[in-house]
Amino acid sequence: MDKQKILIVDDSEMNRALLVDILEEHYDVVEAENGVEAISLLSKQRADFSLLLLDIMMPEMDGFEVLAYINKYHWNDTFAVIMISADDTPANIKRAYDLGAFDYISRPFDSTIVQRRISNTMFLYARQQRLEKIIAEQFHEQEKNSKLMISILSHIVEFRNGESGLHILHVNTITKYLLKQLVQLTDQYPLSKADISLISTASALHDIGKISISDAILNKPSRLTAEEFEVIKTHSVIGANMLLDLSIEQRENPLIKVASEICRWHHERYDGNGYPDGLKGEEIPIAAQVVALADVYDALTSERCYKKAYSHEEALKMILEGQCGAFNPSLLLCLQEIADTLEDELMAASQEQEAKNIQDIRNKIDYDRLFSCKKYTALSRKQQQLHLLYIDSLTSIYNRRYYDEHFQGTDDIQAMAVIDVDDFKYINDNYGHDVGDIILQSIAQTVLSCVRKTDAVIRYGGDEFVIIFFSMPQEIFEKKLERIRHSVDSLIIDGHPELHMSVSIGGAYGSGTAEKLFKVADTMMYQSKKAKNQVTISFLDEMVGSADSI
Amino acid sequence: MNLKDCYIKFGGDFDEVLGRLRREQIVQKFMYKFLDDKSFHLFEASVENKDYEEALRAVHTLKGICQNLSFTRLFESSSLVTNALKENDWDKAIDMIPKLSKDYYETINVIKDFKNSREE
Repeated sequence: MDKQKILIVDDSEMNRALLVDILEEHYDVVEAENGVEAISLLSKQRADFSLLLLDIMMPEMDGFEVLAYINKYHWNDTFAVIMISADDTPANIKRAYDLGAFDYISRPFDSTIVQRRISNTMFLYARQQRLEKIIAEQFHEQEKNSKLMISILSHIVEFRNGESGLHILHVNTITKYLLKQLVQLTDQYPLSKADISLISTASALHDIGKISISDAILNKPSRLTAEEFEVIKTHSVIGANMLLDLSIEQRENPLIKVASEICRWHHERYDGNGYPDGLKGEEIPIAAQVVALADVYDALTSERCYKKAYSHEEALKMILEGQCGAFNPSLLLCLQEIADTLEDELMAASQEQEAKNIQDIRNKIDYDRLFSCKKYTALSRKQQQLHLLYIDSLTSIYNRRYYDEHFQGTDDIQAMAVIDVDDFKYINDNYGHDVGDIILQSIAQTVLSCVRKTDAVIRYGGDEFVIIFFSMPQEIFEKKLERIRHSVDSLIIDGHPELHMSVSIGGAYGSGTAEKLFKVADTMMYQSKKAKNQVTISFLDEMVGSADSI
Repeated sequence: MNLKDCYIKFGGDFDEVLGRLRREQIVQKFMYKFLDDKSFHLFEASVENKDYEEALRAVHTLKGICQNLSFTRLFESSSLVTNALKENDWDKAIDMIPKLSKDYYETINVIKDFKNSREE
């Protein structure tokens, strides 16, 4: 390992030489004879240095001036500064520490003490930097997880709405920008960075109360009756109560506290004309005020079952004109300030996903793109997030989570197929898991190449795949499955041309829930398994549940 | 004359310096190096030019070096001048210059004699 580098700044050549003598055995030592020289050296190559030994009394620029300069530009984040001087009056020592010196060595130099002080300082600094790095990594990891949670929540809550699933992500983004702008604008709301992050995260929960609103009302495309609107309005109180029903300990959690405020009051308006409590002005907690505005802004700029999307300009105009109720004037100023940023941010998210519902999100994960690593790097952040959540890392097709979250309980599926690789265990046992992996990848790609873009191919378990088909005629379904069987049957595995692979396929055709279709298809697959390399289909809608073996 | 005798002669503390710098060789190396140090001459020239700021810096440096090398007597006289200049008491500083000068040249001469005796 290279020696660590120390810069000695002292106008006396004698004193520098003495320090060099003490230190050169263990360190790479560079000298500067005054402050100006030191600063110019550091401005070019400060990353090289681990430590600076700085004399106080020097011509041109004295030690305190150098220290102040270093501190001003935070150079001492990466190296430690140790002051040296005989002039160790308490006032000087204090001043050095105040200016960011790490330590102070007084003359006369004792070689052992100097060496120890310096090695200890280096050690502490290195350890501090290492710890800082670890904490930063942990922080990012946590942030990543909380974003993932928000993303999952957004799907759960929005799923029933048939809304974009992006709404919660948008509200989160808008809330964050509004709050950042707000604290710049006024000291009225003393919010720390952590508070802003907390409120943005809590904003994801603003509509959880909608879980209890019936589909008929929630997704009604026409105008709601007064009674229906009263039902919708209950979601705010219900959401808050859901959180207040948590254990006392959990209720004490700042996130839950803020979230329940947001749930209850995100439909209040600044003039007291909102619901449920008709709170007015600053009676409404700032978190709820901000989320209310974010909610309205995103609702306007997104398409809903009952309305088209307004442009960002239109939305801004409508809000400022008070068409969506009264808001805190400070927040309206903030909204105007950040309008351009929001448009860019939200547009970016929307372009990646013009998705209007979960099914569209599925379609947006373009298979062709996922298979090419090169193209994958061009995917946006948002897509990468979805990718991480729902794509199987080995085969690049959908994973089990995707199936569980998107198809459980759905009843608009036309048909389903369950595919199991024949004798896969034999391959793993005799050729190793790396070959097994290649085979799974090849089969996944083959299956994928046989289906339409609107069909979903899922890696259900180890060597088991599921395909979900929407609106497909019966005879095409039969042909599809046969084509898949045949394609795998004639598949040549990269690097292992001697291997022959086959699959057993079970199909279920007809109306029913995903669970029901899966169960039938799975049973059919086991029938195919008896002879292997077979397709067996059950047609549910026929009076007699016949099994048709091809 | 050994290094310790030399130190005694110009009023230094040999045991102290050896305790800090560990090796006689190093002490001797820096003692010789002191012969080439310009601080004292810079001080004299600055006083001549009435550049008291520069004079203070020079005598302060001299003081620091003496402290590091345990040249106790010279350290004391340079300290007194340094303090006087720091207190902006020019007259007092100038009054003390002859003593500083005397101590400086005594030290230099002892070191030179020692060096010559070694080289012979």
